[in-house]
Amino acid sequence: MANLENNGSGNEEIQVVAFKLRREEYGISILNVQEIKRLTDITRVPFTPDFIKGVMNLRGSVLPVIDLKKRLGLQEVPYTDNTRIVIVKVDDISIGMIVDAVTEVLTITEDHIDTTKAVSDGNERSESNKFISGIGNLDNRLVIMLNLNEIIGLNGEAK
Amino acid sequence: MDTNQYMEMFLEESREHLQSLNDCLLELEHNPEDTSILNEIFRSAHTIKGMSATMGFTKIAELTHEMENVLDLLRKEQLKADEDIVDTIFKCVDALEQMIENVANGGQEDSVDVVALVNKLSAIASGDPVAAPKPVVKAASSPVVAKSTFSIELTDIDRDVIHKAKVSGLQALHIMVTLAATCLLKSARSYMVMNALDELGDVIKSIPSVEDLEQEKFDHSFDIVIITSSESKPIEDAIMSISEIDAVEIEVIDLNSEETTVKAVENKAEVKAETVAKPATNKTAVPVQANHDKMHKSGQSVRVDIEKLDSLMNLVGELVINKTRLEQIGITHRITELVETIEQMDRVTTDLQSVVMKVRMVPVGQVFNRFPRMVRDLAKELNKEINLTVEGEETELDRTVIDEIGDPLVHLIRNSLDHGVEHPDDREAKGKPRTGEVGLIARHEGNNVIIMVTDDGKGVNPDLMRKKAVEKGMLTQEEVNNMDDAEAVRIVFMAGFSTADVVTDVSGRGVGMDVVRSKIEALGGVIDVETKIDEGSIFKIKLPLTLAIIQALLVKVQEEIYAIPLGSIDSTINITPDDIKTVQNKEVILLRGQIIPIIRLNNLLNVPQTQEKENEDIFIVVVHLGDRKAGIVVDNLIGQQEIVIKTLGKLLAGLKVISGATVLGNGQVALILDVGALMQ
Repeated sequence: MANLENNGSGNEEIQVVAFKLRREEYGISILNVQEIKRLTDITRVPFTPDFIKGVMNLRGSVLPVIDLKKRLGLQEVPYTDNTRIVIVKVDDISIGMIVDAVTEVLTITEDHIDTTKAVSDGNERSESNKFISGIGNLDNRLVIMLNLNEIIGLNGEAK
Repeated sequence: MDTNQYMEMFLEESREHLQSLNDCLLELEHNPEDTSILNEIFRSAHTIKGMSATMGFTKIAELTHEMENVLDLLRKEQLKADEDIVDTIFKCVDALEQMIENVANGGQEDSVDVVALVNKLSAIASGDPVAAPKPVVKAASSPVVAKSTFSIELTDIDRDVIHKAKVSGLQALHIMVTLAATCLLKSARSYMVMNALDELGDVIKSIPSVEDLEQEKFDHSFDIVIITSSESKPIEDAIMSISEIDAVEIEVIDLNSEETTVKAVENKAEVKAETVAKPATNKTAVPVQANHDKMHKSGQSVRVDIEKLDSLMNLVGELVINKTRLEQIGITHRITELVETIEQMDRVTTDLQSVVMKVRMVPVGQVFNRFPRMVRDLAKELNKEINLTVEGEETELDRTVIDEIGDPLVHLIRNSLDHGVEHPDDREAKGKPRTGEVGLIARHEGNNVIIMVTDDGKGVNPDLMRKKAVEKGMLTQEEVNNMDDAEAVRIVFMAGFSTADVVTDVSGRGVGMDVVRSKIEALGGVIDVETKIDEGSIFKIKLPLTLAIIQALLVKVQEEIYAIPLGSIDSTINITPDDIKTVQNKEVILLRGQIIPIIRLNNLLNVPQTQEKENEDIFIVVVHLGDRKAGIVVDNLIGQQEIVIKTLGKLLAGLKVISGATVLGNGQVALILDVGALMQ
């Protein structure tokens, strides 16, 4: 999504599922979201990176679940009633992501999404920066757009 | 006469007779004098002739008629069944097979050219084999091999066929397929290409010939001429969907301008092996299998897409999970009516499950029956005398396993022929019979199927293995010194290992055995080798009956539940901490006089400690892998249950110790332990 600005059609609207991680608001394209579930039993899987919480049962199929806060290097907080699992699908791989709360579905025009350069020049570590594809600005409400490919670790790093 | 309604019957019977022709011919080779075999061959040929004439397939009838003439002379002992004659008849059988398959696929019988064969046969019958020298015979399948430029040499016969096709609105395409340089099973890939093409049109020739393709007697590319109504693009797509294909070039053959015009399509698209490989192999494996399938089944049958069977299997799996869930509700809430109803349902689901399993089961004979021919051809090529014994063809295995087991077996058998069995002269020098014995044996063993490839050849020399492994830098001298002979022999399964000093066409590129091993392991099986120098080797493959539903023991470690496949469980025992002894700081127990190492799951899997153990009893699940045993320490035994195996998905693939997951009755996910990996 980083190159969305460059394709000329900057006024296209995209729909984004927005959710909270601690006090920040994040978003992913609605096209990647399969469903949103309440927290269920998660079975720990040994020998996996610690952001992988384990696996869950989604109507008979077994899906890996990651803790998105851990993945992004944010501090963990205990799960609450608002905690949700967002099931996303990227390139045929479905996974669940644990988020603090799902807020709403937003519509953002693409020219309201800034590149990550604005923040990366600051004190951000590049490690967590690669997970971010842009920042949506809706009347001063900032929605951090996530790069799901990196988060799922399709580039091999998760293993 | 409307012959359509008899078509199925004709095809089924023809295939049966062709199979029996193949079998009998192999026998005839060994006993050229045996008239009862000749009679059998004659009868089969005669039946095919009769049937095909009735059905109006004149070419098949013509060819079989000529075969009959020769066979009749053989039967009357006016001719001797020498190598040339048997070879020719084999070629006829191949041609017949091809014609029948063409007919079965809705094509025309005459897409296969039989003129040369017919000539050859009549020449033999008239006692003048010189009149039809070999090159003419080959003309049908492989004429002048000249593929320096991107065009193809055509014989007059080919031109004729192409011309006829043009008249009926079809076009002839010349396809040049280049396999990836890394491709290991070139013959399998070329077979898949042929199969894919067979569905799109009629392959009228290939360079090199189909036989040579099957024996991997080609470099990395081969040429095919196909008559089809299809455009170039779908053909190209079909071929590119097969994995390990590097490039496909297609040109339209235009007879008018003598120079074949290069009309289009050059595609050097790199195939991403991993993305394409999975669906492609699955899809292409279906028609391949189906062809084998057809040979054996008679009576009423329906061909079903394997994907439909898979989804049926999944649904049954879901049903089993839900049934277990209902059972638990019934038990917790003590609802008698519900429990009774569930018992009924239990019976039905159990039946349903076993029926679905049975539907997916196919006899290994389907894979095995291509080997006698392969061994014969290979033995000739290698100048070795080999007798292949096949046992237990009726042993049934899950379809998915059958589809995958062929290639590894081809490798093993080739290996036995090439590296195992010695040359007849060497054998004589060693005091063995000139003819080497190679065995292919399948049988049930508990919940597993064992397939063994045996030979009485020179065996695997453990010292040689050690030496080579060090030479190749795969292991250090110290490591090999610590290995006992059995372990040293297993070096053969390590990646990048080949002891053959001369790399032959047949095997020995040093990639074979570890590929075989990984394939078998991917199927949930194990492969092992027993060998004695100069007495022979036994390669033993152990495969699970099915890959979908297994019996497992559920165990509890702290709060976590794990499933251990029942097939690998020896027994469960209950001991006190005092029974655990240590040998060199390793914990062991004594079980019926046998020392067994123990594995503490909570340590190995880093299970979080949630409760102090109050009781002194320790539960141990004794598991075995081959002859080795180990005890797994668990906190509690939950019970035996049928579980549906689910994969953990791409993201978590390749985890050691965990082979998959299953959904329990309460909806919770339990991980399945990989006993093999645990014990390493």
